[in-house]
Amino acid sequence: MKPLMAAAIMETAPNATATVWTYIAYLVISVALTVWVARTLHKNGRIFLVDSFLGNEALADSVNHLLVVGFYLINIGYVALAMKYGDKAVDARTALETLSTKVGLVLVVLGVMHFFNLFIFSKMRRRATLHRQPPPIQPQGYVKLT
Amino acid sequence: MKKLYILYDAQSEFALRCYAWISAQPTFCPVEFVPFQAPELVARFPGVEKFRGQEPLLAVSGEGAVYAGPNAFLMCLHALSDYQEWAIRLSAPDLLPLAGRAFELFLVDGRKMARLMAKLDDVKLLLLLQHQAATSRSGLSSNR
Repeated sequence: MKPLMAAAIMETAPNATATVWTYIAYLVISVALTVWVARTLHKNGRIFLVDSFLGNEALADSVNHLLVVGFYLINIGYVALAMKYGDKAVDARTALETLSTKVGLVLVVLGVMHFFNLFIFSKMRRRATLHRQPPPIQPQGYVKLT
Repeated sequence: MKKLYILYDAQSEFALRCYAWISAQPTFCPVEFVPFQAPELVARFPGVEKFRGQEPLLAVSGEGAVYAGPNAFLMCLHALSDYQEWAIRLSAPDLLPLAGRAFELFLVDGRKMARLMAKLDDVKLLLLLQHQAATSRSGLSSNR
Protein backbone atom coordinates (compact mmCIF):
# COMPACT_ATOMS: atom_id res chain seq x y z
CA MET A 1 0.00 0.00 0.00
CA LYS A 2 2.71 2.43 0.92
CA PRO A 3 4.38 2.63 -2.51
CA LEU A 4 0.95 3.14 -4.13
CA MET A 5 0.08 6.04 -1.79
CA ALA A 6 3.47 7.59 -2.43
CA ALA A 7 2.89 7.34 -6.17
CA ALA A 8 -0.55 8.97 -5.81
CA ILE A 9 0.89 11.81 -3.75
CA MET A 10 3.68 12.27 -6.30
CA GLU A 11 1.08 12.53 -9.09
CA THR A 12 -0.89 15.33 -7.40
CA ALA A 13 2.04 17.26 -5.92
CA PRO A 14 2.78 20.55 -7.74
CA ASN A 15 5.55 20.28 -10.23
CA ALA A 16 7.83 23.29 -9.70
CA THR A 17 9.12 23.36 -13.26
CA ALA A 18 5.63 23.08 -14.78
CA THR A 19 4.36 25.83 -12.45
CA VAL A 20 7.18 28.20 -13.37
CA TRP A 21 6.65 27.62 -17.10
CA THR A 22 2.90 28.14 -16.63
CA TYR A 23 3.60 31.45 -14.87
CA ILE A 24 6.00 32.56 -17.58
CA ALA A 25 3.55 31.64 -20.35
CA TYR A 26 0.74 33.34 -18.41
CA LEU A 27 2.72 36.56 -18.02
CA VAL A 28 3.85 36.68 -21.64
CA ILE A 29 0.38 35.96 -23.08
CA SER A 30 -1.44 38.30 -20.66
CA VAL A 31 0.92 41.23 -21.10
CA ALA A 32 0.93 40.77 -24.89
CA LEU A 33 -2.88 40.73 -24.92
CA THR A 34 -3.01 43.82 -22.70
CA VAL A 35 -0.62 45.70 -24.99
CA TRP A 36 -2.61 44.66 -28.08
CA VAL A 37 -5.96 45.77 -26.59
CA ALA A 38 -4.46 49.04 -25.29
CA ARG A 39 -2.98 49.86 -28.72
CA THR A 40 -6.27 49.04 -30.42
CA LEU A 41 -8.16 51.29 -28.02
CA HIS A 42 -5.57 54.04 -28.36
CA LYS A 43 -5.68 53.93 -32.15
CA ASN A 44 -9.42 53.55 -32.70
CA GLY A 45 -10.62 55.54 -29.69
CA ARG A 46 -8.86 58.72 -30.79
CA ILE A 47 -11.50 59.70 -33.34
CA PHE A 48 -14.24 59.33 -30.69
CA LEU A 49 -12.30 61.52 -28.30
CA VAL A 50 -11.53 64.21 -30.89
CA ASP A 51 -15.25 64.36 -31.65
CA SER A 52 -16.12 64.40 -27.94
CA PHE A 53 -13.75 67.30 -27.30
CA LEU A 54 -15.23 69.33 -30.17
CA GLY A 55 -12.19 68.88 -32.42
CA ASN A 56 -9.62 69.81 -29.77
CA GLU A 57 -7.00 67.27 -30.89
CA ALA A 58 -4.39 68.19 -28.28
CA LEU A 59 -6.84 67.60 -25.43
CA ALA A 60 -8.16 64.40 -27.04
CA ASP A 61 -4.61 63.03 -27.44
CA SER A 62 -3.78 63.89 -23.86
CA VAL A 63 -6.92 62.15 -22.51
CA ASN A 64 -6.31 59.20 -24.84
CA HIS A 65 -2.79 58.80 -23.48
CA LEU A 66 -3.97 59.05 -19.87
CA LEU A 67 -6.67 56.44 -20.53
CA VAL A 68 -4.08 54.04 -21.94
CA VAL A 69 -1.86 54.56 -18.89
CA GLY A 70 -4.81 53.78 -16.60
CA PHE A 71 -5.68 50.76 -18.73
CA TYR A 72 -2.11 49.39 -18.44
CA LEU A 73 -2.01 49.98 -14.70
CA ILE A 74 -5.30 48.20 -14.04
CA ASN A 75 -4.71 45.25 -16.35
CA ILE A 76 -1.06 44.56 -15.61
CA GLY A 77 -1.83 45.08 -11.92
CA TYR A 78 -4.57 42.46 -12.16
CA VAL A 79 -2.31 40.05 -14.08
CA ALA A 80 0.41 40.39 -11.43
CA LEU A 81 -2.01 39.98 -8.52
CA ALA A 82 -3.80 36.98 -10.04
CA MET A 83 -0.61 35.08 -10.88
CA LYS A 84 -0.30 33.02 -7.72
CA TYR A 85 -4.01 32.12 -7.42
CA GLY A 86 -5.56 28.97 -8.84
CA ASP A 87 -4.47 25.33 -9.17
CA LYS A 88 -0.82 24.49 -9.48
CA ALA A 89 0.42 22.51 -12.47
CA VAL A 90 1.51 18.93 -11.83
CA ASP A 91 1.89 17.84 -15.45
CA ALA A 92 1.43 19.15 -18.98
CA ARG A 93 -2.36 18.69 -18.91
CA THR A 94 -2.92 20.61 -15.66
CA ALA A 95 -0.40 23.23 -16.79
CA LEU A 96 -2.47 23.91 -19.91
CA GLU A 97 -5.73 23.92 -17.91
CA THR A 98 -4.32 26.37 -15.39
CA LEU A 99 -2.90 28.56 -18.13
CA SER A 100 -6.20 28.51 -19.98
CA THR A 101 -8.17 29.51 -16.86
CA LYS A 102 -5.79 32.33 -16.00
CA VAL A 103 -5.61 33.73 -19.53
CA GLY A 104 -9.39 33.36 -19.82
CA LEU A 105 -9.87 35.51 -16.70
CA VAL A 106 -7.49 38.13 -18.10
CA LEU A 107 -9.51 38.16 -21.35
CA VAL A 108 -12.73 38.68 -19.39
CA VAL A 109 -11.14 41.56 -17.43
CA LEU A 110 -9.88 43.09 -20.69
CA GLY A 111 -13.34 42.72 -22.21
CA VAL A 112 -14.98 44.44 -19.23
CA MET A 113 -12.41 47.25 -19.39
CA HIS A 114 -12.94 47.56 -23.15
CA PHE A 115 -16.71 47.92 -22.82
CA PHE A 116 -16.26 50.32 -19.89
CA ASN A 117 -14.02 52.48 -22.11
CA LEU A 118 -16.58 52.35 -24.92
CA PHE A 119 -19.31 53.36 -22.45
CA ILE A 120 -17.26 56.35 -21.26
CA PHE A 121 -16.39 57.38 -24.84
CA SER A 122 -19.97 57.17 -26.03
CA LYS A 123 -21.20 59.10 -22.97
CA MET A 124 -18.67 61.86 -23.60
CA ARG A 125 -19.53 61.95 -27.28
CA ARG A 126 -23.26 62.12 -26.56
CA ARG A 127 -22.74 65.05 -24.22
CA ALA A 128 -20.55 66.85 -26.77
CA THR A 129 -23.17 66.26 -29.47
CA LEU A 130 -25.84 67.74 -27.19
CA HIS A 131 -23.76 70.87 -26.66
CA ARG A 132 -23.62 71.46 -30.39
CA GLN A 133 -27.37 71.24 -30.85
CA PRO A 134 -29.31 74.44 -31.52
CA PRO A 135 -31.91 75.57 -28.95
CA PRO A 136 -34.96 73.26 -29.06
CA ILE A 137 -37.41 76.20 -29.28
CA GLN A 138 -37.91 79.30 -31.37
CA PRO A 139 -37.36 82.79 -29.91
CA GLN A 140 -40.25 85.20 -29.47
CA GLY A 141 -38.26 87.98 -31.10
CA TYR A 142 -34.88 89.59 -31.60
CA VAL A 143 -33.03 92.54 -30.17
CA LYS A 144 -29.88 94.10 -31.48
CA LEU A 145 -27.22 93.72 -28.82
CA THR A 146 -24.93 96.67 -28.29
CA MET B 1 -25.04 79.38 -28.87
CA LYS B 2 -21.95 81.33 -27.87
CA LYS B 3 -23.41 83.16 -24.87
CA LEU B 4 -26.64 83.46 -22.91
CA TYR B 5 -27.84 86.56 -21.13
CA ILE B 6 -30.39 86.02 -18.39
CA LEU B 7 -32.36 89.14 -17.60
CA TYR B 8 -34.09 88.80 -14.25
CA ASP B 9 -36.27 90.76 -11.90
CA ALA B 10 -34.06 91.53 -8.92
CA GLN B 11 -37.18 92.30 -6.87
CA SER B 12 -38.72 88.87 -7.41
CA GLU B 13 -37.86 86.25 -4.83
CA PHE B 14 -38.40 83.50 -7.39
CA ALA B 15 -36.12 85.18 -9.94
CA LEU B 16 -33.42 85.56 -7.30
CA ARG B 17 -33.69 81.85 -6.47
CA CYS B 18 -33.35 81.06 -10.19
CA TYR B 19 -30.30 83.32 -10.37
CA ALA B 20 -28.66 81.62 -7.36
CA TRP B 21 -29.38 78.13 -8.69
CA ILE B 22 -28.26 78.75 -12.26
CA SER B 23 -25.08 80.46 -11.01
CA ALA B 24 -24.15 77.30 -9.12
CA GLN B 25 -24.56 75.00 -12.16
CA PRO B 26 -21.91 74.09 -14.72
CA THR B 27 -22.70 75.66 -18.10
CA PHE B 28 -21.44 74.88 -21.57
CA CYS B 29 -21.43 78.53 -22.65
CA PRO B 30 -20.84 81.77 -20.73
CA VAL B 31 -23.94 82.99 -18.90
CA GLU B 32 -24.30 86.62 -17.88
CA PHE B 33 -26.99 87.85 -15.52
CA VAL B 34 -28.42 91.32 -15.96
CA PRO B 35 -31.18 92.58 -13.61
CA PHE B 36 -34.18 94.31 -15.18
CA GLN B 37 -33.43 97.19 -12.83
CA ALA B 38 -29.93 97.74 -14.24
CA PRO B 39 -29.62 101.28 -15.68
CA GLU B 40 -27.76 100.01 -18.76
CA LEU B 41 -30.42 97.40 -19.63
CA VAL B 42 -32.21 99.39 -22.35
CA ALA B 43 -28.93 100.56 -23.85
CA ARG B 44 -27.51 97.04 -24.02
CA PHE B 45 -30.72 95.30 -25.10
CA PRO B 46 -32.73 97.93 -27.01
CA GLY B 47 -36.36 96.88 -27.41
CA VAL B 48 -36.21 94.09 -24.81
CA GLU B 49 -38.71 95.86 -22.53
CA LYS B 50 -41.61 94.91 -24.81
CA PHE B 51 -40.95 91.22 -24.04
CA ARG B 52 -40.78 91.67 -20.30
CA GLY B 53 -44.44 91.86 -19.23
CA GLN B 54 -44.73 90.14 -15.85
CA GLU B 55 -41.90 87.71 -16.54
CA PRO B 56 -39.53 86.94 -13.68
CA LEU B 57 -36.79 86.35 -16.25
CA LEU B 58 -35.99 86.54 -19.95
CA ALA B 59 -33.27 84.75 -21.87
CA VAL B 60 -31.36 86.46 -24.66
CA SER B 61 -28.89 84.54 -26.76
CA GLY B 62 -25.58 86.01 -27.86
CA GLU B 63 -27.15 86.47 -31.29
CA GLY B 64 -29.95 88.62 -29.87
CA ALA B 65 -32.78 86.04 -29.89
CA VAL B 66 -35.21 86.75 -27.04
CA TYR B 67 -37.00 83.97 -25.19
CA ALA B 68 -39.80 84.73 -22.75
CA GLY B 69 -42.19 82.69 -20.58
CA PRO B 70 -41.58 78.92 -20.61
CA ASN B 71 -39.11 79.35 -23.47
CA ALA B 72 -36.87 81.42 -21.20
CA PHE B 73 -36.72 78.60 -18.64
CA LEU B 74 -36.03 76.12 -21.40
CA MET B 75 -33.14 78.25 -22.64
CA CYS B 76 -31.70 78.39 -19.12
CA LEU B 77 -31.83 74.57 -18.97
CA HIS B 78 -30.35 74.40 -22.48
CA ALA B 79 -27.29 76.33 -21.27
CA LEU B 80 -26.70 74.04 -18.27
CA SER B 81 -24.43 71.07 -18.90
CA ASP B 82 -26.37 68.75 -16.60
CA TYR B 83 -29.88 69.75 -17.71
CA GLN B 84 -29.60 70.14 -21.47
CA GLU B 85 -31.45 66.89 -22.09
CA TRP B 86 -34.30 68.30 -19.99
CA ALA B 87 -34.54 71.30 -22.33
CA ILE B 88 -35.09 68.89 -25.21
CA ARG B 89 -37.62 66.78 -23.31
CA LEU B 90 -39.58 69.76 -22.00
CA SER B 91 -39.77 71.31 -25.47
CA ALA B 92 -42.48 68.76 -26.36
CA PRO B 93 -45.75 70.66 -27.10
CA ASP B 94 -47.60 69.21 -24.08
CA LEU B 95 -44.81 69.88 -21.64
CA LEU B 96 -43.55 73.23 -22.94
CA PRO B 97 -46.20 75.38 -21.20
CA LEU B 98 -45.13 73.81 -17.90
CA ALA B 99 -41.37 74.23 -18.35
CA GLY B 100 -41.36 76.90 -15.64
CA ARG B 101 -42.91 74.39 -13.22
CA ALA B 102 -40.23 71.85 -13.97
CA PHE B 103 -37.67 74.57 -13.38
CA GLU B 104 -39.27 75.27 -10.00
CA LEU B 105 -38.86 71.62 -9.07
CA PHE B 106 -35.20 71.69 -10.07
CA LEU B 107 -34.71 74.69 -7.79
CA VAL B 108 -35.73 72.55 -4.80
CA ASP B 109 -33.17 69.80 -5.29
CA GLY B 110 -32.02 69.69 -8.89
CA ARG B 111 -30.18 66.40 -9.16
CA LYS B 112 -32.60 64.43 -6.99
CA MET B 113 -35.65 65.89 -8.74
CA ALA B 114 -34.12 65.30 -12.17
CA ARG B 115 -33.46 61.64 -11.28
CA LEU B 116 -37.03 61.19 -10.00
CA MET B 117 -38.59 62.98 -12.96
CA ALA B 118 -36.48 61.05 -15.45
CA LYS B 119 -38.21 57.86 -14.30
CA LEU B 120 -41.63 59.25 -15.28
CA ASP B 121 -43.08 58.92 -18.75
CA ASP B 122 -44.43 62.07 -20.41
CA VAL B 123 -48.02 61.52 -19.20
CA LYS B 124 -46.97 61.14 -15.56
CA LEU B 125 -44.54 64.04 -15.86
CA LEU B 126 -47.35 66.20 -17.23
CA LEU B 127 -49.56 65.25 -14.27
CA LEU B 128 -46.77 66.07 -11.83
CA LEU B 129 -46.14 69.46 -13.42
CA GLN B 130 -49.87 70.25 -13.49
CA HIS B 131 -50.04 69.36 -9.79
CA GLN B 132 -47.03 71.61 -9.20
CA ALA B 133 -48.78 74.42 -11.10
CA ALA B 134 -51.89 74.01 -8.92
CA THR B 135 -50.00 74.07 -5.64
CA SER B 136 -47.12 76.44 -6.40
CA ARG B 137 -46.85 79.89 -4.93
CA SER B 138 -43.91 81.07 -6.99
CA GLY B 139 -45.78 83.79 -8.83
CA LEU B 140 -45.51 82.08 -12.20
CA SER B 141 -48.80 82.19 -14.07
CA SER B 142 -49.80 78.60 -14.75
CA ASN B 143 -50.10 76.92 -18.14
CA ARG B 144 -48.62 79.77 -20.13
